[in-house]
Amino acid sequence: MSKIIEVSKTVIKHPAMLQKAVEYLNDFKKYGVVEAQFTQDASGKITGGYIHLQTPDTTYGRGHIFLKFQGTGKPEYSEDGIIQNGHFSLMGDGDFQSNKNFATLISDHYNAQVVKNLFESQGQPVEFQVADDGAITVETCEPEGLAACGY
Amino acid sequence: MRHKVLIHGGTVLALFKDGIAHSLLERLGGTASIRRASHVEAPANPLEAIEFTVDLTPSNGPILNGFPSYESAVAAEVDWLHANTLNPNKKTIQNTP
Repeated sequence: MSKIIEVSKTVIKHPAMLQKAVEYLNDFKKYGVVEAQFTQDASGKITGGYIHLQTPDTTYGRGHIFLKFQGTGKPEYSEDGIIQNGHFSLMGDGDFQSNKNFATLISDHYNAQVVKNLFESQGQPVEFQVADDGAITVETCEPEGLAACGY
Repeated sequence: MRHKVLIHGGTVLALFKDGIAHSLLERLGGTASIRRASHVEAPANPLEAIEFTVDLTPSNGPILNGFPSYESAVAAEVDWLHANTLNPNKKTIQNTP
């Protein structure tokens, strides 16, 4: 008797999460972050910056993506610090369908890293894979370790 | 036992498991929903035959028969869910608006 737990709308939180997410993206060579820069105000909120991301063809989009934060306006945050969609603008030859896709991409990588850290903090090594369409799986074998499950 | 978490489209999907579920929510934030993925049915008449059944129809899967023990039925159930519901090549997660 199994149940599935689905955690949704787990989007990027401000401000360290966004920068951390970009670092995590850098871990994946297939999502090469060519360059990323941010500016912050005195409170630490991200007020500007850009990310140049090169992606393969995935459900998130493909090609060279140039993401910049809207000019002078500060991004708005919900009470729990979530950056709302719509604070990003795309430029260049980006092929994303919407800004939301980019937010989803870096959210997924951030969330995957959190899950990986969760297992590893419990002494469980993990397998961490990215499918061609961008889906990420984090697998472990409890309590024996990966080898016991044939990894 | 294998444990898999699938992350795609802003959604994190895993088999519910004590400890993991709470930790996922605590660390990821967001909102969670929990749904039935499958059932393991005990033998109808244990005096005649001991045979457990795995009903995967809540996950659009088959009904698997003939397991001699509860443990073997649960193992098959988890294997199927990992290979299908939590398989990135077969996922049906959609981006939510």
